Amino acid sequence: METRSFLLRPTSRRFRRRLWDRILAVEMVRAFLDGGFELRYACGQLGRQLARRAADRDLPRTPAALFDGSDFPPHLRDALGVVEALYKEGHPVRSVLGQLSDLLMREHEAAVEAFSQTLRARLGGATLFLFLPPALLLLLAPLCLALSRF
Amino acid sequence: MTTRCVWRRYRFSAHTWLSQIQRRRFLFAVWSGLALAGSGCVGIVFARPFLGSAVLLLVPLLVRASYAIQEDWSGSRLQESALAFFTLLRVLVSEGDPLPQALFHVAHRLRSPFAQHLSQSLAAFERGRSLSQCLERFQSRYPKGTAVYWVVLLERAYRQGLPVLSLLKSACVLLEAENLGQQKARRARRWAMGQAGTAALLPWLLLAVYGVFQPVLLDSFWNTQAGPVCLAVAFVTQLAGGWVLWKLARFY
Repeated sequence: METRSFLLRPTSRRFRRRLWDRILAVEMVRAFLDGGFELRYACGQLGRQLARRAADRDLPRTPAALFDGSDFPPHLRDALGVVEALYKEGHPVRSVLGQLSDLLMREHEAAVEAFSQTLRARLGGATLFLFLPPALLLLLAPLCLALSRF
Repeated sequence: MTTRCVWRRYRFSAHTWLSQIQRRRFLFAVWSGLALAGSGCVGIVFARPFLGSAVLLLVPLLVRASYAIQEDWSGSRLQESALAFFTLLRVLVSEGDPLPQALFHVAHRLRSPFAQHLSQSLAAFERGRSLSQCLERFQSRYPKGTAVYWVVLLERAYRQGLPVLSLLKSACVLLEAENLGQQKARRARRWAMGQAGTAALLPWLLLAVYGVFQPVLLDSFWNTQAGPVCLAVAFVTQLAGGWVLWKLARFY
């Protein structure tokens, strides 16, 4: 569980991929619901239509998987839990799915912002760590070898 | 894909490299020529065949890196130009055109990378292939793009009588959001990779300055056993560092 939360911290690449997959799934299901289909059927269709992609990525195929928020931060988990509860109680979830999609989109935008802002610092540190030793080796090794001869 | 063939999904497996030969003969020929010429030159100029062999061994890594960069570049070109395609498709479908007709119409008329590549795949329709076969071929050529998958999904939904217009609306919204995010991420990434490139090149430039102003120092360095080893270690460390940075800078 600890490993999982470490891997899926909001700045991780896997979190961003999962978030985008969930946005795709929610939007597609919403489109099917707009066409008049029931949620369970829409999820089944999604699974069938995206069979090849779903094998590669984490696209949900059932309503339970669609509302599963175990990999997401608490506020998203709560939002998904509320929608799931509404669905289980038999309420129509079409308009709620739209709001859920907006919420996930905002989370994605925040992830993009965070990525853009922290990338320079992260890569700056990594560049220093990874490129400084070879640079020092190239610059100091000839001097050291020359000095060692005297 | 069966469990037995899971190794095929490993991006750096020999199978992955060799399966590219059919598709990218020209690139393979260019890289082979460059590898042989480069290793020969290094071996002759520095009078050390060991360095020539090292260059030859590094070539597969460089080939793989060039594929990754090329795929990334062509994928982002396709993805960026897909929004216009989907917007036009949405307009035609909302006007009452059937999806296949609108698809052919937009693919043939629109001058954007996405439409042109799709048009090339749809040309097989005139040779007797079905529309879904053409689109699957398109998808197999560009497996990573979300936009490509939307086209396939739309066609499948249309074939089963499912609502296409609402899917198209969702596609447009998501593609727009995805493009905006990707553009932002790419800008940040480009800057960071430029910084890393400068950090990688600078020590070699300074070493060249040694060679110009202190040739004796560099000659004595080069003629010891440790000299070429230091250069090789620095170069390999930089390559590994470049790979790590490339991975760190990916958004998805």
